[in-house]
Amino acid sequence: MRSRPICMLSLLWLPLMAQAQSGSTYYDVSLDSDGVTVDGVEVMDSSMTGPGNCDHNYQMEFYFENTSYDPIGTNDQTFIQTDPANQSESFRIDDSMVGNSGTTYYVSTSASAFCECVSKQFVQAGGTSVLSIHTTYFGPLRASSGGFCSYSKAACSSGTPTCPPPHITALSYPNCSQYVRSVFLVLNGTCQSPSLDFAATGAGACN
Amino acid sequence: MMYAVRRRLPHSWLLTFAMILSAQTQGSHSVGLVFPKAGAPLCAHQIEEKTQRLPDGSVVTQKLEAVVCRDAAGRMRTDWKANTPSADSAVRPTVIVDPPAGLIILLDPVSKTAWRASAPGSQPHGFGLLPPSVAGSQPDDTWKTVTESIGKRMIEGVEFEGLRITNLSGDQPQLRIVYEHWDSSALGLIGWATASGPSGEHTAKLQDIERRTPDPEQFAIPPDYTIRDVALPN
Repeated sequence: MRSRPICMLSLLWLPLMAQAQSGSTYYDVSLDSDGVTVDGVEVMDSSMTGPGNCDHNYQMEFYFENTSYDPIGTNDQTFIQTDPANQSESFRIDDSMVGNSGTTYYVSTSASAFCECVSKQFVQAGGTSVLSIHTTYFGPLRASSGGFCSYSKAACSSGTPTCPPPHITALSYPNCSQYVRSVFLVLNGTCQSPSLDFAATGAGACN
Repeated sequence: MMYAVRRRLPHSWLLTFAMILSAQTQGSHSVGLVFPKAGAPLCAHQIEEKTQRLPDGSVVTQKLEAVVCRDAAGRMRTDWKANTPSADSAVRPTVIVDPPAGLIILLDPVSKTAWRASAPGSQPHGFGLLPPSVAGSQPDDTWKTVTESIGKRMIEGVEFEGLRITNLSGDQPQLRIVYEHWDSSALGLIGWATASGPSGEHTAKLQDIERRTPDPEQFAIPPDYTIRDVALPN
């Protein structure tokens, strides 16, 4: 528990107090036949000079829809109490998780150093953003003109397309293919245009 | 004295968030009218209007605007205009497409995240755009499709070639979903596109097409954004 009397006393030390925090996160997300793999590193440094309490809180979470909730990496949270405080802490969390292809994944992070008595600061690195990768096959070709290829229907041998509207693509070779495989980024629920398109020989699995 | 404790953030909100987003995904998409074509730098306004007829007979109209710029290398940036009610209430990211580097970058202003996607190992054959669509725009195999050229037309001083695709219901011939788009292969643009059906209309068009080279800084990731790399499947 934090000590309130120490906090009151520390007001007398204000000129001697200083604190600083910095944090950063980095993620690498890949999709292959094994599924969606998220590798994350979260690094934070904080320092405080003077009396008070510091609650260092470092958390990184990966969550895959309909699969599982990932345990937080090591060293996720440490509460430090010293009197007076002259402390410098550095944390690094390395974590990874594999989810299923076609599912949505979420990355939630926070890295904070919460120090009382000097002032209250909350430094957060990262945030919450939702991205998923989805594939829709389109075909057969409905029309082509001037290098544009128009497809009015999805062609899914299995699965339900997340991005199902009609599709117009500009392919880099002379003739439009009868089918096309389009890979979409879906950010915060919206299918983004443009997609990356590949020629396909027939219908395929959509997700 | 040091205490080591482990706490968890409650993740019930994540589940709620997931369900909301999952519900939003159906039918929600970002319309594109400009291809990342090299050799034709320009900037233009993209105006999108969606009219939806609800089952109770009421009509809802929404409008969305974006500024699209493309440089001589074919790199492209789309900025959705702020303070414009979106058709789906979603905050739309800035989209940067970099064909020379094989990248698509989404700048999410909410989390200040740059999602940088590439397709390692195999280059894509092209880039695809999602045109306007209306509910029920994925007819099943009982529908008949008629495709026809509808000639040429000048839009904003540019000549476009028109194409119409009409889907007719096999069971109810009065039901039809019609798509039209007017494209310029020389400039890699769709000047005007629309979809109409029983549930409403969705139109997107380009305005104020300026043949100029945009600022190269527009195609860089802002320094205060966290980069997250995403490898797309081959």
